[in-house]
Amino acid sequence: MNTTVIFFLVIYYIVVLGIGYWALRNGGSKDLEGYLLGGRKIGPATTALTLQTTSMSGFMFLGAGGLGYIQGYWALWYAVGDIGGGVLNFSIIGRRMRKLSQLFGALTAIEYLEKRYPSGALRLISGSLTVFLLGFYVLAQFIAGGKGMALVTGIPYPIALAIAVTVIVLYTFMGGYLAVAYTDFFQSLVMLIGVLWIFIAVLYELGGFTAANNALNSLDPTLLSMWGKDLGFEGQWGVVAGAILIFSIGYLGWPHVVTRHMAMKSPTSAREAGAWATAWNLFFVPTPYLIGIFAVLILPGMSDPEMAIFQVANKLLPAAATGLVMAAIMAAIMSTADSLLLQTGTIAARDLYQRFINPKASEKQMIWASRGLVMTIAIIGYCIALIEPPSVFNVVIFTTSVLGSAFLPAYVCAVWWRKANMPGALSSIIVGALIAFCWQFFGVTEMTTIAPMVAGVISSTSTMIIVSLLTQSRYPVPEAILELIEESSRVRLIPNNISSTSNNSIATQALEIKKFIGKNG
Amino acid sequence: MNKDNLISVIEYDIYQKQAKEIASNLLMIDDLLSIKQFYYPYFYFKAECKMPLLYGRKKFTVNSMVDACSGHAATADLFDTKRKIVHQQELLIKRVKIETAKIKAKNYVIDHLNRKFKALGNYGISMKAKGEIYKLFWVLEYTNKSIVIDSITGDIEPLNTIRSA
Repeated sequence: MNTTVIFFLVIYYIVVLGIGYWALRNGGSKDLEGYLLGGRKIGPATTALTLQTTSMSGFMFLGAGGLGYIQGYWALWYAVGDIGGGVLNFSIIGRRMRKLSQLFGALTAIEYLEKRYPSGALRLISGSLTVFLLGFYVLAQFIAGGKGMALVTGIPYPIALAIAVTVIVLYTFMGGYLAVAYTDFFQSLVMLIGVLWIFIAVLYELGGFTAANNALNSLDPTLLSMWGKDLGFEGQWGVVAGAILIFSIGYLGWPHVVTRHMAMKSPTSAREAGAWATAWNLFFVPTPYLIGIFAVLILPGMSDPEMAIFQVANKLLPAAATGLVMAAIMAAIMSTADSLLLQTGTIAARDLYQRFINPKASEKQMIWASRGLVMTIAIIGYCIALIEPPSVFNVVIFTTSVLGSAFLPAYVCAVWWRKANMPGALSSIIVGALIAFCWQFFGVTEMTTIAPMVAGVISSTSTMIIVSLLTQSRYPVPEAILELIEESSRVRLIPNNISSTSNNSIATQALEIKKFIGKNG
Repeated sequence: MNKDNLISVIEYDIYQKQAKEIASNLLMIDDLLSIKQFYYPYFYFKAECKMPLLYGRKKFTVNSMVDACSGHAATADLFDTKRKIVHQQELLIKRVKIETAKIKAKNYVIDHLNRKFKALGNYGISMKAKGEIYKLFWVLEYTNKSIVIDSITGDIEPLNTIRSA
């Protein structure tokens, strides 16, 4: 057991907990409460970095490093999509969704879908699908936390996993305390510093970029190619397209990510948030892949390539630095897991339990419904992660493909296509999820060389278009919704000299005043 | 129709003169046809909460307002009000009942706290209705467009923007 690493891990957490305790106890002034509770709005930088940290952490530290280790530079196809994902997210749906969700008064991403495509069935299916898939995604975070902790501390995996799961669940139940110190904004900076520190140590060890690439060339030239190790993906553009799309447009369909748009300061801050996301992505996203690629030179023949980043840090950094960097990485993993669990619990309580099982549920009943689900996910997740842990990479790719394929057209068309109606959205969600799931389950990718994400998004998008057009006369989009969609798009039409100062926070009131004036002449 | 009503209005800084200045500075046009005022209704609640922390429960209050026309809930900062007599035709009609508003406000506060604290906590929320309040909006009509100006923040929203703009 590495006592130095454990010591610095513990010191790190004690300091952060101490800051949080002090802030709440002594600094618990109206200012602090105002920050936490006063409805202070979220600015573009925080929105962007929060979105990025929620989307990545666990995968980036295990899956990305492992992929780089196995496939070499081919892995950077995933990074390409990831870097552009932030801009696509904010520019395609960010501003309009922010305004439309405000007009709908929707609190969760699933509630937003139901209000845009009025249907109880849609909410039930979307809610259940999201709860299942996000629960599965949390599994990846459990495995990442358990594996990482076991490696850097030397604690046996089952115990490390139990500690990670317990901390994540406690974090979710009592997260308010930690949230003071661990804002996602802070996390994003810590994650960035952590991976850059490891990367610099790697380059220093290998004698710089050119020397590292020369060494890779000597070891296996195909690791430097764009087609993967042994040119295994040569000419498979369908797979490459999937690798690029999965993290670029895939995020557009993630309910827990699109929720962030709903909390944005103003629709016009979407553009600035996109720039922040891209700047952060440029530095952060390629780094774990590159560490994985070069790890093959430092630690050849690893039995579990997903541990490449942890192993490299363990080998190259001094024990104290490893402790601090690992603490930061673990905190990032836990922060992601707790966001996911919170979102899953909220959807389960509000979108499923209160909406379909107990409409008059009290506050306590809602909390117990969410906690029950979180505990169930934790227990099932622990058992799977203990008995036969799948690779973090596979879990993330599976979840992203199914979520993205199912929800992407529904969210994008909600703001961009006035004819997108309830049957179109419902069928597109079902078809997208089924195609992406079956594609992976039956190994169709190997037969067709087309990635599940590509197949899923094409199927769900075409289903949305065909079904919406075919059912337009029977299920037209209600006039009230069309009016709100129209309103959500109006920000573009405001002259430039107004749009710089207008934050559209009075859109709802303006709509009501317009109706009132219309009725009263 | 011409009935007068005594209402509580949130104190505002943007009077008719300032509203005209804001609009003329931003729109760069001076074909103002008319300026009207409308009082927008809200239900105002105070949510008394107890946050479970490691060292016990911390008490705090969250102010919440529910739009009495659309039913949308939100948190609110502290504000002062003044009593004012206004004409009936300047008052937007409430379409939401206070019982419904109270439930919406409570649900909003729960969700708001869950998101802010990133936790599924039992906040022991007790909602107290603090009455109906109104916020003034200015509506400025120009030859080709109308805009709404928030009398507190100065936020602007077009009412009927010309589509070819």
